[in-house]
Amino acid sequence: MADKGKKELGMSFEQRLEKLEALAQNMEQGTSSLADLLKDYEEGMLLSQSLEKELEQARARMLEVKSGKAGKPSIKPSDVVEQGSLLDEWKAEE
Amino acid sequence: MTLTVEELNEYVRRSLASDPMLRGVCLRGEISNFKRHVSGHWYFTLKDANSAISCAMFRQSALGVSFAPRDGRQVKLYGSVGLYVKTGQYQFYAEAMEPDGMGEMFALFEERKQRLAKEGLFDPALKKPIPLLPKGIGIVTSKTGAVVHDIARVAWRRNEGMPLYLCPVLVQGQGAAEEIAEGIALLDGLPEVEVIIVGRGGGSMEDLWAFNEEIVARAIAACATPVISAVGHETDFTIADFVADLRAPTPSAAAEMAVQPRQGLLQTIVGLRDRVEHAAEFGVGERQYRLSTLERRIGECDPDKRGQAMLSRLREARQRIEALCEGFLRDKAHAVEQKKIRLRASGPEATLLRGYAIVLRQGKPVPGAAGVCAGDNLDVIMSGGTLGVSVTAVAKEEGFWLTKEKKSLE
Repeated sequence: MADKGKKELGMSFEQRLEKLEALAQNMEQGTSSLADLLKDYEEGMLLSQSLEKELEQARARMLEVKSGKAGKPSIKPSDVVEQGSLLDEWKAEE
Repeated sequence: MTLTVEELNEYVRRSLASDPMLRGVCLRGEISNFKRHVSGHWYFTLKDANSAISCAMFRQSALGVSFAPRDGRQVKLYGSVGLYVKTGQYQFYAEAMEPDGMGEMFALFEERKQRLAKEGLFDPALKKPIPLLPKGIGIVTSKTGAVVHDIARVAWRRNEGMPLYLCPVLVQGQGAAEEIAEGIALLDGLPEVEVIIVGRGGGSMEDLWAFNEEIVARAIAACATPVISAVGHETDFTIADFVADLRAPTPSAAAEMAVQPRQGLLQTIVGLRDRVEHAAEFGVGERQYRLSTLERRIGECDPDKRGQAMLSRLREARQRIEALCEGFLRDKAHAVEQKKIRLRASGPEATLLRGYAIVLRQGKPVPGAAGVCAGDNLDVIMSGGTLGVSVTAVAKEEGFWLTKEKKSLE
């Protein structure tokens, strides 16, 4: 199970979403054994949790990327878009 | 003041070189007398209706020109004015060359589009899908202008957590194409960037020209990260649009394509989770129902219950057998009674009644007088009782019955 969890972490958001869809479909067919059903259920809950978590994880920020010395990109907070002001701007729109 | 020719030429060269007006010049005209030297330098004349000027473009600059110049082409040259001291000829040193005029640009655009299409750069099979939830979005556009604001506003409205990585570049003029290409490669190298938007706001075909340059097309084609192009307005098409994995009509639309609404994604996930939950509940419930049904059916086949049924059948059978036996026995008893009566009628009792007696010695019948001696104790059974008799004398007379008979006969 731990192994499986790790494998799922390696999967992309789309892949996990697709997997969840496939699980739901498979379970709804009602042809799987009880053991498989419960296994699918457990996996489905883990998948949906990880998907939701990933959706929540990102934090809004605007970063500026420039090519630095030795071709290494330098990344710094951008002065172009003041994140706060822009966030306020679209919140005000709503 | 007397000067050598060289001194004069050198003086004029320097004064030309020091004039800021003659540096960073953009010169337009028609190419004629175009010559490609073995060294890689280009020499030609640029002319318009009434004038002409000698032009040189050195190998390093010529390498950056992405189309083939030839006589008759309308071009724009970027460079400076100088003097070639050896010949005293004044000329234009071109550092960059661009097609000039709508007709020229359109012809070039078509030629390049066809060539790259033939090469397979626009192959739909090469188009990469845009991820549903990228870790971050790279943006290659100008640091100034509305594009970056538009993208940020739309992206954050749809998913307020989306990190944006801006690579500020020139989007028009000399060096713009190179910067755009570099920016794409730079963002492609960042693992946090999972989709790249390349674009700029609206403008003339000339303004958008950098996005028609081959170097940009190749950078997009080489980019492993999916690229969304958003150049100008909906009606503007550039080479970059054909190579990109997805073409957005405007920068705002590009942001919509790159960022799925967080709420929608959440609903999809929750909806799927509910389906999984329901399917599991239903699956377990259905099995529970099947189990209880089976339990009931099995309960009905309980050996105890079955035994009870057998037992009652057995009892019933026994009762019937008993009833039958009773009847049979009654019949038999009756028959025996009848026989007894009949026996009695023909048995010794009747005979005894007629006056006969049975003689027993020690419980055994005595068949005749022959075995009897005087002194024997005999039992004489008669009708109505038994006599204990002692024999006083035995007269063995053979013809008792005979004499009797004789007597009676006599």
